[in-house]
Amino acid sequence: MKEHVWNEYEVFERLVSEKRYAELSGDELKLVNQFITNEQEYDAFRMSGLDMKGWFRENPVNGATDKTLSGLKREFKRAHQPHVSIAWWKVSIGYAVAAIVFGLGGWWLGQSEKPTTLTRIEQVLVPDTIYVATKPDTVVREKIIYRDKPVILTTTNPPNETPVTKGVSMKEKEELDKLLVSGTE
Amino acid sequence: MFFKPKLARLPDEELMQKIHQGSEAAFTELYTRYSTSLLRYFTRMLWNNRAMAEDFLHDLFLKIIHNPQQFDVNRKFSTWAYSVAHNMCKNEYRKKQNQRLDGIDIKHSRDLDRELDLSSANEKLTMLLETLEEDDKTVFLLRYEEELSITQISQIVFMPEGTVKSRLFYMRKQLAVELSEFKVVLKEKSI
Repeated sequence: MKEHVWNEYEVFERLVSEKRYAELSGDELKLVNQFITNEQEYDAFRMSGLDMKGWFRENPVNGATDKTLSGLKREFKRAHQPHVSIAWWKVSIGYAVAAIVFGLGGWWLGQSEKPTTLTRIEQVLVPDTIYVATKPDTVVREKIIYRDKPVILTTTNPPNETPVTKGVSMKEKEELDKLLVSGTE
Repeated sequence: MFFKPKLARLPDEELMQKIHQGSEAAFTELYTRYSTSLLRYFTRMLWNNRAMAEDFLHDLFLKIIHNPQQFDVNRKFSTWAYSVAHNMCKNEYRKKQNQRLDGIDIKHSRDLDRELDLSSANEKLTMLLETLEEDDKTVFLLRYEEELSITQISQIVFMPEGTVKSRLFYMRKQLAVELSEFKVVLKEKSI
């Protein structure tokens, strides 16, 4: 079959399914005859097409069960949810937000406060009152207190190195004698 | 409904963007739009094995959940979804092919015809569909059951449009021949 004929195959298909051979116009017959040789062949094509449609109608395939869809939905949820738990997700988001807020706040405060030059403030007392000298109204009497103060007198002569012999008085002698006689103190 | 909810009015591609952003409602809307047609496609492709088809549908939507970024927003969503589905089926066929090579025979329609006592054109059609090659079956189902355009189908199966059209034509021709012959046999049997 020539290649250009295939361009019109869809038209041929449509004619076979819609019209009988006798119903075809001149142009349609011309087109159909590129694919088939006679009326019997056309009828066989047409009948087989009708049988085919009947077969599809009589052998339907029912739709998938709801179980399949519910299983797939579960899988869909699993595939699209994050792997961390919601609580953990919230906490991490909270931390991130707090960090951003503090960071921005610090940056903003640093930006708004302009650097100031340090100045040294000194308090200098400047007398602004003039006192007029007045006579004191209290008379303080001075009292001279004498205190003993040891005075070391130095002599030029060295002290006498001979031991000093101490004598016994009469009274002491008497008492000693008494002791000797009694033998007791 | 006179007032449609907002999501129902959005195109598939925008729903995908919303899914990427985590909208569960958008996901539900997209699922509602495509689950039946994709399940039908999987069921037909996977030898009418409903349980396997549901598993495949589940896996496809999981891909949408986990990798929505894989969807190119410049493409049509339906084309992308069916091309993912087509690749999933292709892998399954490859697995089966290996099993067949390990000892299971491939049966052709005429062999099956002899084994099964088919009593209607419907049964014949079921059998004919089962004997189609994986790519042909996809093209056939997407065109005649899901009613996708030739352009979309060519993007899904990575084939030029001309090839898609010629495949469709020859499949229709074979179907017409087999069904008309079968009907003659049935008529003869009834007489």
